[in-house]
Amino acid sequence: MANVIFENITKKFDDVPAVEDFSLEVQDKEFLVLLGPSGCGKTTTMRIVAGLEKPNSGKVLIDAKDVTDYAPKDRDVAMVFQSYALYPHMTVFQNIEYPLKIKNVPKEKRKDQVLETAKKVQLEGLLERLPKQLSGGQQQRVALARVIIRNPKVFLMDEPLSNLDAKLRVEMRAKLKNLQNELGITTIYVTHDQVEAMTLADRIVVMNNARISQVSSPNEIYNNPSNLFVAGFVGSPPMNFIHGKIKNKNFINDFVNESNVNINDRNEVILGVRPEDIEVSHDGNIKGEVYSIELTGDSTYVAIELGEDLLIAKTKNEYKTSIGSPISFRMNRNKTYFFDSESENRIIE
Amino acid sequence: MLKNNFKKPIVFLSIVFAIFYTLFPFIYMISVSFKIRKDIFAMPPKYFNFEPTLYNYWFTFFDQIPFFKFMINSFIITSVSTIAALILGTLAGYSLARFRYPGNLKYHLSFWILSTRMLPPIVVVIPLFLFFSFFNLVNTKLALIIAYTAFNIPFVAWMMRSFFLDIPKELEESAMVDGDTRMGSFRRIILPLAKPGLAATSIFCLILSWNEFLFAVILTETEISNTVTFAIALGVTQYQSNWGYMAASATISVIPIIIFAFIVQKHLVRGLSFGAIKG
Repeated sequence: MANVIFENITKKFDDVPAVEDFSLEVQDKEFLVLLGPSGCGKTTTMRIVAGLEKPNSGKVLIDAKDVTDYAPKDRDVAMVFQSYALYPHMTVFQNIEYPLKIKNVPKEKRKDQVLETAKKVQLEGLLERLPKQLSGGQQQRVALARVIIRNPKVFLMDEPLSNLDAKLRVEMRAKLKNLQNELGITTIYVTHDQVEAMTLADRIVVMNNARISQVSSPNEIYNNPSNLFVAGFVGSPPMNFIHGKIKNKNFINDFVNESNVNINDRNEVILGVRPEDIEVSHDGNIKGEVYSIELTGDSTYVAIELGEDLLIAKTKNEYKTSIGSPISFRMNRNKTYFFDSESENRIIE
Repeated sequence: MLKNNFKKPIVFLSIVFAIFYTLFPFIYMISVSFKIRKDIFAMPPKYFNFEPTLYNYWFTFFDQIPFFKFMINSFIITSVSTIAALILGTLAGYSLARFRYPGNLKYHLSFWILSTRMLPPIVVVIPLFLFFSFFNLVNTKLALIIAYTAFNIPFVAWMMRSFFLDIPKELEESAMVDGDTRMGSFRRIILPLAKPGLAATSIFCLILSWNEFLFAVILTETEISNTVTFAIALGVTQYQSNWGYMAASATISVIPIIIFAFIVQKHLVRGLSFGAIKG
């Protein structure tokens, strides 16, 4: 049981910032997800908590204790690596037992605990195997068992599901969430997969270019993005952006004219709207041309060319059209967002 | 794959040639060691049709040359210097493989370590002799141990560095987060995984030290520290070359290395092909 506090963490590699001025408090028992594209500093942030990287400045507090200068072994955190980092020369049993062995837990007690933990992640029959004799999903569960057995203050997980196939990933996602809830251990989870982030997190930290872009609940992140990056990164397919300007409470460009926009006149504005908030209809106020059509099974995504901008609209499965034909649509005005093109920050209406 | 290759005559002939090329001198040496003087110089050479004799072996062990003592010296010098070079070189290799060095230091350090092997030994041996005589170490086993260790460390460091680079660093990171120290994770996780590399490297060190001749001639004077290679060379004297003795003593001197190679064989093949095939 512990909270984790970051105080103005900055980490540079050869003068290139990997994490800059990162401040955050992770609540006790919280499932916090660090989300961002590769190279945004999310893994470095996690490694700083583990003690595998030392920040150039700033502090890390675990359970109100400053651990910035502590060795990894003295922090009482447990980590699942993307590659699982199972010890190849040890059996499953020895792998799970390792953290206890280091702590000199008596042999009998160790055995009991390993068996109990193995049961939790359904590895009972595989304890004598070597890691290379296991499937990806089983290896993943060994890695999980090895952190659970520790009963640490904090779980750190670095893209633990990214090496699994799609079906197994969905299964393990549910298992992880359930396990974390049952154990009640503060968890920091790194991923670039926004679906994972949305489904697992109590709170999401979206990172970009070594900095925090937004910290909020998954719902807020999706429905109330605070800047262009978050709006474009979260959601699949991503949010559509239309470039234009505001004049006399109207958002206008060569194709669009949306009235009643409650923003003062500006020259460079980006309007954001999600694919599901574009309604294709004969009497739509905006007209474009069909660029491509993608069937996904439960719905059809139509890409619409609008001058320089390409929009994706989510339509009903039975919608029929062809590439190059004219198309008209309207936007759900309650679900449009405006961003300043220069600062990329959201402009609140 | 292999089977198909053998069907191609060029490949087959090349293999036969390679085997002949490498093994012929060796087999010839052994055959000479069982010949009397007359047969050794017979023209045309007698390959198999000679009367075998053990005289040369008797001469090696029981005549004036204290060959057994030389063997012991070589054993001590080779094993101590190999162990010392393995310990120091492995730690150096690990450091080069894993740690961040300020600026360009890692590159310069690696290069410097390697550069100590770039000089021909003859260049080093005279200063080394003066150095050891200053410390009164000439004609001691310690002198050769120090010299061989110093000569082998760069080799071990570079070999082991590449083996360590092949081991994912997440493994020891995971061990450290699991509560282990850096040294503990090195000992419990990394070293067991680097075993094939250690085996291959150790046999190279052993061969280098065991076969070394130049330093042994210059830095030793009496049977206190003379080595096997020196003993073999004693067959060449002012008046004659005792080929039978040299072949016999050389044959004996090969045996320990072969035994060691058999012991570590299991790891050796993996060690030698390590890095070549990944995944």
